[in-house]
Amino acid sequence: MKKVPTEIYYNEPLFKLTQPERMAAEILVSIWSVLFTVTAVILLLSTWPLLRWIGALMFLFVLDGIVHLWSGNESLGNIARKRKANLDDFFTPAARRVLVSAYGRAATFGGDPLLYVGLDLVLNPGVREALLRMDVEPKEIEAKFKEKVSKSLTGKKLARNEIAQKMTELAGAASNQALSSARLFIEPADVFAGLRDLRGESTDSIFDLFEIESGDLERALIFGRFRRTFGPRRLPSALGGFRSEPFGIRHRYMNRAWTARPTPVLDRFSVDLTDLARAGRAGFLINHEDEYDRLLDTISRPNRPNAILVGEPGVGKETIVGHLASMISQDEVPAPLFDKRLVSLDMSALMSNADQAELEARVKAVFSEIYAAGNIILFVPDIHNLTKTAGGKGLSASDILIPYLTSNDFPTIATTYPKEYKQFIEPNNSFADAFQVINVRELDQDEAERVLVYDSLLLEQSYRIKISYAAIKAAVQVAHRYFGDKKLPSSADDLLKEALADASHRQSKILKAEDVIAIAERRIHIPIHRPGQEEAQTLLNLEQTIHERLIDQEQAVTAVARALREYRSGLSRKGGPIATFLFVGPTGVGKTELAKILASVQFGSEDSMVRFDMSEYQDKQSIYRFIGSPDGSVSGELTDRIIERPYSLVLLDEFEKANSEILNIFLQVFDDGRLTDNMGRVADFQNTIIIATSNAHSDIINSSLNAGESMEEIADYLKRKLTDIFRPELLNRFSGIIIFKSLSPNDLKSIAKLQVKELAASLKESQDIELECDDQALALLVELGYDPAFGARPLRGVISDKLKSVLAEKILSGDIQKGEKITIIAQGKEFSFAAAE
Amino acid sequence: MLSYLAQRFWQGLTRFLRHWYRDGFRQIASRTFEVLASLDQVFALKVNFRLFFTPLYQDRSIIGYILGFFFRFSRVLVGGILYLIILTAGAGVYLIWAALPVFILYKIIVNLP
Repeated sequence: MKKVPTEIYYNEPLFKLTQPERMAAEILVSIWSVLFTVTAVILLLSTWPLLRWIGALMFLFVLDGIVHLWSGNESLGNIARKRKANLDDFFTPAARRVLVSAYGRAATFGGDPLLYVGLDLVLNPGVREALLRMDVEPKEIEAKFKEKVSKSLTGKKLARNEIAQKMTELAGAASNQALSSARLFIEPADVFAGLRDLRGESTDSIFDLFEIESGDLERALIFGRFRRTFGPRRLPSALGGFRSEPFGIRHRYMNRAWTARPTPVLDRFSVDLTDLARAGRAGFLINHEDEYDRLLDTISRPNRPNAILVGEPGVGKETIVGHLASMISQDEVPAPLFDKRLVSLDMSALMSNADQAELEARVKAVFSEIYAAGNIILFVPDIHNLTKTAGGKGLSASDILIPYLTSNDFPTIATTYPKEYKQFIEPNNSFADAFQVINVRELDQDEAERVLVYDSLLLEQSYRIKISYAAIKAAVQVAHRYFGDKKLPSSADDLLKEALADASHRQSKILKAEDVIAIAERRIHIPIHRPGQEEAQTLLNLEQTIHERLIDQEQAVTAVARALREYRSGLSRKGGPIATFLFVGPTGVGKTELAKILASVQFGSEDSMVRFDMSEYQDKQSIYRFIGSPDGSVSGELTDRIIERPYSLVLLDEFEKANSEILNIFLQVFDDGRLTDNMGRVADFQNTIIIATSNAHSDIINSSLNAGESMEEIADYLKRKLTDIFRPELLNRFSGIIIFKSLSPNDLKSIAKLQVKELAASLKESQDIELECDDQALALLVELGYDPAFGARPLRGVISDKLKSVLAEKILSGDIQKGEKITIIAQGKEFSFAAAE
Repeated sequence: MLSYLAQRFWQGLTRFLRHWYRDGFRQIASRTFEVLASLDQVFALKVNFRLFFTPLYQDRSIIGYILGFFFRFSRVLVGGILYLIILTAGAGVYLIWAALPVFILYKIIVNLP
């Protein structure tokens, strides 16, 4: 018969009373409780039998009241059994008091009852702990609630039925929270979480201000709740997987039916997971319930009771197996699995120090024992390692083992990764047919956070460091974004543990989000943290900083500075590089120089720049120098570099000279920010700036400038002309095509000044000699170093020939001493060096 | 207000009866079965009863069958007696529990002048 769903409503009798009646009723109830208790005690101690027995009966009521002092009238577990359920019966007295008090104040003084609820609850211990975990100072949020309450008092006073309606909605939301957390009663923390779930209410703005999201709050509340419900002794010693300790675990090879047989050989080459589970060394399962249920169904069936768990590293395959061991030890499994042992085969132990004959003998002995015992479920982790050695001369381990594993005579559980499954197991028909595939998916971020919250309870015990909820969230977000080689939740778990170890080393008592981010940055060399004041100033003044070393080219400098500011404020386009630029212009005008300056100013050093002279990649085969050759003999210079240092500046000089096949690989890089190398590794370009330089059609720039055209007109025309050289789809993928104009003599003079300044700085550092250059000397440098065809390049040569080499000779011959002050003077077409007086 | 107070009084009474009898029964039954479950880890009464004539260690010789029978018989016997004691004790605890208020009421009535 179909069960009628329970009709749920909320009816708090106190709401029907006026404020004075409510107060009187509560006082009377309190007085009655005290009087009743006192009377019961007095009567119980009386010498008169009748009174004593009356006292005894009353005392039973008192005892019942004391035992259930913090409980609701009814437990939420009974709700489904009732036809009609009043939510008021499921509230704890503390939670009920909050709602009644809020109702009373709203009815008497006005204001929003939900704000009163929030105000009362922020100081509740469970809520307080959750807020502190979320780095929210309870006093600050309390102040905000007070402020909003004051404001709401000036508004229209709600009618009693409107207040009751709000309380009903809140009661519903709170009950949903309590039910989803499998609580016995609706507690104050559930009411607070329910408050967050009510959208479009006055409390929204406060929660938004403190960045408190429903899911986050619900998970943060676990901290306080779990510790109160389970004492530290009842927490398992590991969450997921096992903490395996070889000593002190009692080994039980015999089943309770005594129909099994001892397995001494198997015991040598395996670990009994049910023993570990019995000793409390196995954790409990959070998420992956579907996969677990499917596993149970598969290994319980009479035919083909073999399952293979397929999933990326770290998704939780071992956790599922560990949970199964735990359930078997508690008899919470279907009948076919009852009283069995779950045993993990240690392949490396089995194969170590064994020649062919020895290996065959061992395998035969192990599996004979498994058949004889009849109570073994075999677990083979990373089963693809077996199949990799299949075939070839003579029998390998896999050739010996696979027939046993696929025999269907006993349940077998295996694990592998998706790629290895496709490559090594799927092609082997008998192997693939023998196992039921169960795909274990990666947890999403919410699920991973939940797992880590529970894990944190255990880690806090080991490390004696409090873990903030923000640290957990940061670990999950950062691991998901930057550590894709391992999946959630393991990647986040590893990061959290590394951060804890570091915090323990620093003797810190609390682990914050910044600590986790700092550890991640150390690993991947990408700035993840929010820019501090100093960095923010640097970014805001980036153009100025660049112009200290680069003359003119405003458009280019502004474009790259803007791209970096967007990146560091989290606004850059996701799924592609930070920015991709094509710098077009004549030679020697600063295209490469800008890239070098950017690398040193923003990326840390010029070493963060990876430079490729594309004129060296003119043939098709040279693509392998970028991504590696298929046979692995040549490694990918580009992909290796980006995998090693994801936060880099990539400079592709003379871009137009590269082979067109090579240019094509950049289509994917510019679009998706990813490139796969010869070994299947993915280089992530999402934290790179890519600058391609080209001299193509640069002659147009000067002639157009001379003809009086503006830079915008030249830029438009040049971009259209560039389609002669580059494919339109490649040009379209650049964030910006920046035109570099030729340098004027004034620009040259500024560049000359900069370069002389560099020379002076180097001289001061090495020889403690001060160097100055007068204006005529500068003008002479410009005259000698200026060539419209080559830009500023000849200037460096002139400085080297006319200044550096001469200075070097004078220093070595003693004509210029340490500590002297020298001025460079122009004499005709030559330079002289005068000592200052 | 009077109806509210009356409702509270009535709720207190029904809550006591619910806690004492329904929840009390559930608690005592639950604890009793927990004890039985932990004992079953040792005695495995149900399993041994089901496999009463199955030899130990799959030793299918005459000796194996005879030993198996005697072993299982003694386990079932000892386990059965122990389980019976535990169940009886559990039932007894509940009966005492349930009877306590009734007993007190009886004593009140008996001692009335």
